[in-house]
Amino acid sequence: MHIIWKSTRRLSLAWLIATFVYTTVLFFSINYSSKNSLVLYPIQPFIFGSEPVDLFFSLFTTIPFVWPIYFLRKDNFLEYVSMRIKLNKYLVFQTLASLALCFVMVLLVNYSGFLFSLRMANISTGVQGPTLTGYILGEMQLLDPLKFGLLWSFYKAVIGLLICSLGIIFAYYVKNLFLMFLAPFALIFLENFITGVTGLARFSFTTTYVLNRLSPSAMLPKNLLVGLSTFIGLTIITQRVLVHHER
Amino acid sequence: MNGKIIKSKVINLFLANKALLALNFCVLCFVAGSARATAITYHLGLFDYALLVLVDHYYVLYCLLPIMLVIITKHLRSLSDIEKIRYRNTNQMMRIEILSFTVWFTFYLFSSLLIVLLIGLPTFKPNVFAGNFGGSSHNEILLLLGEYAAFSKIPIISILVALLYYGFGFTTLTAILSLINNKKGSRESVSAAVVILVLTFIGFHTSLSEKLPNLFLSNYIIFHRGLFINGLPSFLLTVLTGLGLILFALGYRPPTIARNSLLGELTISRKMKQITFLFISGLILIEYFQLVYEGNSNIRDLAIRFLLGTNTDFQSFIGWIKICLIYFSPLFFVGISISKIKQYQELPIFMRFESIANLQWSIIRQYAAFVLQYAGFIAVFLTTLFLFGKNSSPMSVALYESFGIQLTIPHFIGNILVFIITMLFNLALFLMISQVANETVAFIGLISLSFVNLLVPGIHLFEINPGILMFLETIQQGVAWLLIKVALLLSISFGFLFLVRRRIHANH
Repeated sequence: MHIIWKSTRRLSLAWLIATFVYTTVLFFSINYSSKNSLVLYPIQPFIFGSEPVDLFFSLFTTIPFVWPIYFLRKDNFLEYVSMRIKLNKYLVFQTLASLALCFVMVLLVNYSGFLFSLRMANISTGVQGPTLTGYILGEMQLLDPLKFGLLWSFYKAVIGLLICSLGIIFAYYVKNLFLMFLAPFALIFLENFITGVTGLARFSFTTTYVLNRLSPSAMLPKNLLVGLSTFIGLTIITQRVLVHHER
Repeated sequence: MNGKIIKSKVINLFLANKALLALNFCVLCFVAGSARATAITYHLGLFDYALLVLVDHYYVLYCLLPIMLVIITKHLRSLSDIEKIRYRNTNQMMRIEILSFTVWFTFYLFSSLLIVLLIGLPTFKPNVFAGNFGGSSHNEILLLLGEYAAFSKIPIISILVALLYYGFGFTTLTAILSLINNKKGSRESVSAAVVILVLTFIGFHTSLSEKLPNLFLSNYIIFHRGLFINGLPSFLLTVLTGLGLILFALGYRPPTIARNSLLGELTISRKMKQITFLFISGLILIEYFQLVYEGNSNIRDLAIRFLLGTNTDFQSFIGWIKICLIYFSPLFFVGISISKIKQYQELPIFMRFESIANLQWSIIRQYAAFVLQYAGFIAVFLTTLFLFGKNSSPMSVALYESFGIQLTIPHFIGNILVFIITMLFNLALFLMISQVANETVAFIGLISLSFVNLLVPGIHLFEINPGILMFLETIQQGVAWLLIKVALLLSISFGFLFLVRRRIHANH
């Protein structure tokens, strides 16, 4: 427990900065969207505003949380740690601290984004627009945005954990700092492009964490599940390849 | 020595396949006899008649192909272990197998041509120019002859090209089977021959051979299927694939990039260059397959679409990602290199330089050379595609409708120049930011800047990844405006390089 606490404290400054930057950018984007688009539902500014920010979601969920593991290994600290405590145990604690902070950051920022959106939304009355009923929990998005916001933020935080896990794997095995920081982002960016040009955007991992990204017919739970499974598969393959490469 | 082996193998091929060749001769005579009546009806000349017989795809697929598959597999299996160990290496053995088959097949083709001409000579008059086949548009035979006539007015040329294409297709087939025979064994080569035959029939009877042209042998053998039905881009890809396979089987390997100096390996290594080349080739292939899928056969559109980008009126997220990948992938490798140099900064090689500034200048030169090589490759490739494409491509028409500017060769070259200058500018910007902050910040900064340009196109910050759309939009605003932008990009790029260079003198 003591180790988790120490690791968390080490990450706290990075966490604070990341939370501040992520919140600022998200709020700015929501505000911009709210003022420049026709708002029909309270959560619409969040839907429009979070989409551009989500391009950098993989950066927000990796860079602030993975660097300690990289430097622990680079500075040969892990060799000394193994004399006091089992290396695996120590690494698990480090990872848990990173994942926990990442989870809290994503949950907090996104939920505050929802609250900000509800406050900012200047709903245009008398305009007939498309409803959200076709989407997953569409009724809840319309009628109970607070509850939906909490659920969505929780879900997105879980996805943040997945991306952070990939980042941690890179941090543990990759020796190049630049590559370690940007590899998860580059992979997701490429995956987004390839699924986009091949007409398979509904199965893209990016679609799983961008709210209402595509038309309701494409945003089916099974499609999102395919995207998530592909990403988990990719993470496992990456880990295996990196282990093989290191050996 | 090789000549003698090939000669004996060619003779053996004739002797060992007498029965099959006799059967093939009978079928060819039958096909030639059946075509006589048709040719008389349409008043064809001798060479048009010979062309009609020789390009009969039913004869090729149902008679020639199965017979040739049997002959090739027999030819490959006929090698005894004693003969195998006489060759210098496997490559030489495969080369002899393929060359002997090709020589034999050339003889075979010319004898077929001779037989057909002899059958036709008593009935038809020799003709230098092709007849007029434009009248009846519903007759399959006349349509086919009409397409060949459009390809070349002289039927002898059409015949020779069709025969040459047969030679190419069957040599490709021999190369594939020879590779399988040597890697996996003779049983697998027979199985592969059966699979190829089945695939060819499937491709011939469905539209799959048009969608996936490289997969089906009919496109490698039958000239009019490969070129007239599938279109020029598919044809070029098929020919390139076939040539690649033949060269590979003959023992040629892609040239490897020469190993750099030690500093070169520490900055942009050979492996990085290869990955970049493969990456950009992958992007081009994706674009090409999209084009084929849309039924667009104009390669000029491949050049236009590859560097299309976004502008104020056309904001496509996927288009933006693509242009980002094109512009920023070399910077990604430069970023990796900077990080690597920081990691190994105490290496003895760095101490050989007179000063840190001197070392920095050498490294920057390596980066600039890499970026210029990358941009140069794209520039040459796209310009070639543009030059060889047709004038009235769908994309050119769409651009003309949007901007009122005809995208001519000078325009395209202008855009390519802007692309190269912007690549240099991006490198300078990336290096400047990485010196102030670090390479990760620089890379994220550039992507963010580009993304802001996509979201708010009206603000026109630095256009760090302009495509053709942005180029035409700028031209629409005035050529002077374009020149100012280019001058700005150039002055910043060279200003940065000048400053770095100056630091060396300050150090001395």
